[in-house]
Amino acid sequence: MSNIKNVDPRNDFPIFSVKSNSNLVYLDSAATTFKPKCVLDVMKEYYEEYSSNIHRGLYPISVKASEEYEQTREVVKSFINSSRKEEVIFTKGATEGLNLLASTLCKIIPHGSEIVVTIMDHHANFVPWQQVAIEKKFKFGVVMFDPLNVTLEMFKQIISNSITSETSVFAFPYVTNVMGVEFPVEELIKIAKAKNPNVLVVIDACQAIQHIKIDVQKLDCDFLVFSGHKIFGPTGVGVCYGKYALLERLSPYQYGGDMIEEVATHETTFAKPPSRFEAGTQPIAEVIGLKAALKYVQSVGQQKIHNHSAKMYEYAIDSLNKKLGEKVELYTPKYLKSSSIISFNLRKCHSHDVSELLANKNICIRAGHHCAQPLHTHLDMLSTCRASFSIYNTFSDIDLFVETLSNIYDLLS
Amino acid sequence: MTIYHDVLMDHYKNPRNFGCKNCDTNATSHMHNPSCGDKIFLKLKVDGGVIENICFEGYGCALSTASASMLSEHVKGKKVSDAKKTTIDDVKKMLAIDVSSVRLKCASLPLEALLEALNSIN
Repeated sequence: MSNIKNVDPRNDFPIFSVKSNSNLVYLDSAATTFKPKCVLDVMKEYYEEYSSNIHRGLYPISVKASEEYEQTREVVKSFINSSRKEEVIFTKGATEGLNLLASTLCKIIPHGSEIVVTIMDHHANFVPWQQVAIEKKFKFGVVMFDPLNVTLEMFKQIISNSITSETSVFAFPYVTNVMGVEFPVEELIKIAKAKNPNVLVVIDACQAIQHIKIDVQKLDCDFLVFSGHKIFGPTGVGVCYGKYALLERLSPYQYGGDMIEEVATHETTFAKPPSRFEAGTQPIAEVIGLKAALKYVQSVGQQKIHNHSAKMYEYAIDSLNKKLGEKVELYTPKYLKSSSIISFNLRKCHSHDVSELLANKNICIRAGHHCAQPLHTHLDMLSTCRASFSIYNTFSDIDLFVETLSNIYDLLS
Repeated sequence: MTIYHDVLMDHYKNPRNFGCKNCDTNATSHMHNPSCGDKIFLKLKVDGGVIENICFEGYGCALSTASASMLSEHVKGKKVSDAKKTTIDDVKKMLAIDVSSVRLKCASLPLEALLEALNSIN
């Protein structure tokens, strides 16, 4: 049922073979994904066999560490189809990537221009822009719409109306983190650039990177970020992609070793991108682990991961409707596409109670505002439960989840 | 379903001193936990240094609602000076459960509201 390549993908993930996890139902992959053995192996190998700092040693283990690290850049380049590897900056995660962009782009965009985000953005793609706008006196626009009821045509019109000659930055998610809404990114970028060719488009691809093939050249986005741990990679590493000509215009985000060209007592010149943005010792094991994660995804196939998550999503919605009916309130978009994340509430039940009672059965979901308070406020929701799916989920996971929810409703109502 | 024992569920489904309509009060507080949307409005009627009446309204999970309900029973009729000595450990004892670190805020929000209302009196 859940088989991919005719082999159970759960066998690739050591967490399922731990005795205490024998009944684990993990429906929180939007928060973080599990790590396959191949990722853990290469990180262990680095620490055990060639642990050393990169770019600075001429001895064999340092040369190997540098090569492995830089090979990840090549793998990311082909994974997102950027035109050159120097467009790939390693960060500690998407949040750092977005902070890097907010704090450096604000120095090159016109004074008093407008930064636009959407009501569906994660706080990481919302707060950095909001705060930079306050501090540097930019206008701050939030595209407001009802994701549950808006049609695709209305949505595109709303986006078009939100971009003006004053807009300098337009930041939005590829797939939203609360409802899994898939934005028609390529079209939206065309719409935005048709309204204003100078607008810089920033894409938060965290919830897309695992299961949607991303081609930054085809999309024509200016910047795109994601976190390694959302795609079976380690925590503590992420990617910030930027068009090279734009990266060259950005000043450093942090100062320190490895990001300089020449330092004199009273002045410093800086390295070219990407080194300019990679100050200090990098998360070397994590970058190497990211390479293994991306290769793992390539070997499984992003389309297969997408199809499997979508199958779990549809089965879960169908089961929830059939078994719980009016007892559950599903926050699924009527017209926009969604495929891997479901937000819901049991009627008159608090999300924390539902989540804790599921946890008693070792069923893992998330409860709260999912780092999207503006969206919850906009839709007048105090908090929600969120279930998200990946390749290691099975139909029996969903069955147990829905059955337990039914029991929880009986207990709490 | 360990922490959701009968007494706690009874306080959740039938919270004591719930509802502030037409209550005669002279001290109020409002607490909010943005991480889960919990809200509590708490009102006190204090006379001669004694809590004569207490009531609350709001929205919260089972833990937070039961905590508010039990706390209201605990301090009603007590001297303000004694009620101010209530701690989170007292709340945990009333709830009779091990409150995990992630749910601590649920259990403690009503206590914070109570202490704020008490401190506003003088």
